[in-house]
Amino acid sequence: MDTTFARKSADRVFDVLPVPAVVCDLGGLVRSANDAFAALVGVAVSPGTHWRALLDQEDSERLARAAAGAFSDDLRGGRHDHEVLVTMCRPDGSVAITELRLRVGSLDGSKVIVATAHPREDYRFPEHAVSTDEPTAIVATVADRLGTLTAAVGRAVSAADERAGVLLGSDPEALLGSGWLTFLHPGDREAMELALHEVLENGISRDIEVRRPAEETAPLRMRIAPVGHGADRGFLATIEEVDEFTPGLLGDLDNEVRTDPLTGLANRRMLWETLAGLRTDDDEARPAACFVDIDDFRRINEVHGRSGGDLALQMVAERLRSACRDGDLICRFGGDQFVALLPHVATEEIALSVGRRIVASVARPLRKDEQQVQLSASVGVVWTGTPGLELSGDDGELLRAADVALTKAKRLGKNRAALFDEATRGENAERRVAIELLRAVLDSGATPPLAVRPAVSVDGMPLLLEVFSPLGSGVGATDPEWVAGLAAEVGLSLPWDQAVLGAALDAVHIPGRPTDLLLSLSPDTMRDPAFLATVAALPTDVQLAVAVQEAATGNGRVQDAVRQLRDAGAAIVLRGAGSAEAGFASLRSLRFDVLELDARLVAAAQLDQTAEATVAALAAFAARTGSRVVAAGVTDAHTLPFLAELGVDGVRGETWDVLPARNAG
Amino acid sequence: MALDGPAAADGDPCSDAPSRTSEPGDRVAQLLATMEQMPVQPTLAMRVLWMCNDDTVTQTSIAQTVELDPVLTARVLRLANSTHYGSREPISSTHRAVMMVGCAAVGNVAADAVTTSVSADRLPAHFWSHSAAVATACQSIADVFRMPATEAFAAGLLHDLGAGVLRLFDPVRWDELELVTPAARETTERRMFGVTHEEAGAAILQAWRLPDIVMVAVAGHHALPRLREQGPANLVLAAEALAAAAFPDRMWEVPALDLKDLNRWGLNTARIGRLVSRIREEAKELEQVLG
Repeated sequence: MDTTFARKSADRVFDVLPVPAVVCDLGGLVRSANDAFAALVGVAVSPGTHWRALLDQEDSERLARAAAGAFSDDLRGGRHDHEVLVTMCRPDGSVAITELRLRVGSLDGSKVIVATAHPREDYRFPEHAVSTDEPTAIVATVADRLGTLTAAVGRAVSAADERAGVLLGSDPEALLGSGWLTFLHPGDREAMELALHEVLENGISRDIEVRRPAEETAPLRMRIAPVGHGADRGFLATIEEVDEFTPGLLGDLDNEVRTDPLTGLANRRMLWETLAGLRTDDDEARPAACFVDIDDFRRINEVHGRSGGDLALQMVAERLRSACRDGDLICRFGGDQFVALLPHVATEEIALSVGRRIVASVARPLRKDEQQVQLSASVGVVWTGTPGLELSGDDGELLRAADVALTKAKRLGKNRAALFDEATRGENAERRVAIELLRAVLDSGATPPLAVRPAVSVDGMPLLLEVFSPLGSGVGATDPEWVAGLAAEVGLSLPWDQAVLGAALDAVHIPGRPTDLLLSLSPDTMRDPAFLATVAALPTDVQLAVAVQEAATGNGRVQDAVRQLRDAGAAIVLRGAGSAEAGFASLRSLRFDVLELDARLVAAAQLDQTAEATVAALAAFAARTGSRVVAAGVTDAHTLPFLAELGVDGVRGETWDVLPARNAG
Repeated sequence: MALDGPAAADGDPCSDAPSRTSEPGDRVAQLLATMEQMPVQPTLAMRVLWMCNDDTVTQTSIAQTVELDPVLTARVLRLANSTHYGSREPISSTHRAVMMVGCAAVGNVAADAVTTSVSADRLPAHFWSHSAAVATACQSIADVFRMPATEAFAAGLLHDLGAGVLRLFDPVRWDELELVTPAARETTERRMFGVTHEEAGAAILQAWRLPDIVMVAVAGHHALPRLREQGPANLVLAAEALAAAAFPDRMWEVPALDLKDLNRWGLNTARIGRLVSRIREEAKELEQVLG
């Protein structure tokens, strides 16, 4: 053992002991007082100070008598404490009624009095043996219930006393030379490493509570203090038993229970608790809520992996914090959904402006390493003061209203904030009715209603017949993407797409006559092996084309699914070519049969030369790969010659024709 | 949609619109039929299949692997408790179940689970990891609630089977529950499905002849706790509070109890701290096992 280091450590033990202690010579002059003693008397006690300065005359005399008794006892070989109750005066005028326990020790070869101070409710030290030839005697005197450990920065233990061994469940000799962390419970090692780092960095002591290696016994409190300088730097720890972890620990756990660990925002539990205590009776400022959903977040996970997705969520959380005010509660509701609860909002416009601020903050590009990631958010906003708004007293009603407004924001095209109103609630009810209808069609095996939209060649010949099911005329479901979204929402994409395909074949296919059907597939269906079997089993006079919107976004899983579908015999229609999301670069890795040009590009081509050149270039590209080109959104027959001149093979409009229902049987 | 057919589509999950209820026998049959589709963790089921075909692997190892997945565990226990094996008393120990039915039968259960179950995203969020965390917690505090550790573990692992079944049955309605206050959740579940997820889980376990003590623990895991009671009904309640402390991001619902409530059962802050750490550590080990 390095005795120099051990001696310095022992001195330092005295300094950092949690028990107030002072060492005086026979004449009553202070030789040393530790930090805890200074805290008790309210002033740092310098060496050379006489204890009379801390006490009144009567107490000073009693202390002198007790010290004399201790020396007398020491001369006779006695080893017990001499106690005296004193009143110490602090500089601020307050007093500390304290029991001083005196015992004789040895410091630098001379006898000294070691006094430990104990408030009346504090514990008593049990009897113990005192060594008189080392400074450690002081430590032993005041700290027999404490174990001590020292270790150099390399973290190997260089000194350990018996008590440390008892507390850590090990022979002190076995502790020597072992790693500082090895004898701790594995669950405490990370916290201890952090504590050691802090002690080393800041040069101040730190308390940490740890489990004993033997799980079921009382916890330990360790005070870690820095010792030495330069090459001698190290740590010193006092160890004591405590009955329970301090309430602060449970306090931390209580906070953790209410915090989302990934983002540091509040979690759903905290949100519900806050909602329950929300005041809605203040006419000046009413609560509002913003329900935030990151648009198409699944793509971020697919393209950048789970860790990239987590990082994006953390950055979004930071943006939300900056977009909201102090006092607002921002919660990660789950996955890529967040809720901002605004307790005091004066007007509907202010609530909506917060929603818009959130949209704008999320829309700023995120940078990860060298990459730039573009996100957008849809936000549903509800303000409880909106005239005519009838919210029940249920705490969940505010969130449900914000969720309804969020659905509205999504339907309006995402990347925006929308305000709740009663009409929106009606739209949401319509959505629920549509889902019930969809399920009822599938459960009963009925034929889904159909709508068709043809694509024709520029010289008027039929190319493809696109089909989808509008569900029913009564629910206003005329948007294929909307219906596909409903089916995906209830996990019924595959059976729904299969049912629509079956109904389309029944409706338009005449055996022996070739039929070219076009169906928009949801990503879930595309990836499902069962649909590959469906495609492979189609009659030979049916050519199925599947429209793919997501294939151009660099998503490998979709591209694999597209490849397999093509191998199974389906023609692939790549949709949205020439849009901002699907430019030339995205086409290189794909095999397709028909390239469908984005309707906005087609419209622009008739007005500006750059768009015209883009159409021509895409058409030339398709021709080189043996694919045909169809222009979307064409409603004017006069544009056909112009498009044909650019190399376009066919066109389609935007409207759907609903087929009459077929009679059962 | 309630378990016997569609409920009123009123657009408001908290409205008082009445729903029809089915005969209990029909409902249990529907629950059991849906339970057949419950997904298992594919990696884990494949591993079990592989272990069952390896003569050097012990039954103990197989049982330990099986019980990392609540659905697979439930299916193995169902087999062991079936009349075919004629056990005199209900079995809740996965190890005993594996010993009774043999490795070949367990391998068949795993193979069947891999081929027949639906996609994992049909389950409630964090279903597997949450079940594992609650199982660990249940086992750790079994003594406090006077439950044998084996039954306690089984109760924790299987406590949310009903949630899995109900979400599988109607994911839209189940997800709407996210916007229902914790206090209103029980009545809303019953209105939507005709049954709460606890009742659904208990009904399945009863039909599969698992021990009553496990069923009781599963049946009441969100009921208002009678805090002085130390029986199995409060075991899962307490375990959920601990699991929520260990993994606040892996809860699909807010637990009925706070950590401080656990003091009433003699769980002091020191032990709570240790238990939370242990649950976290074991979950990490589980994640490593599952890759």
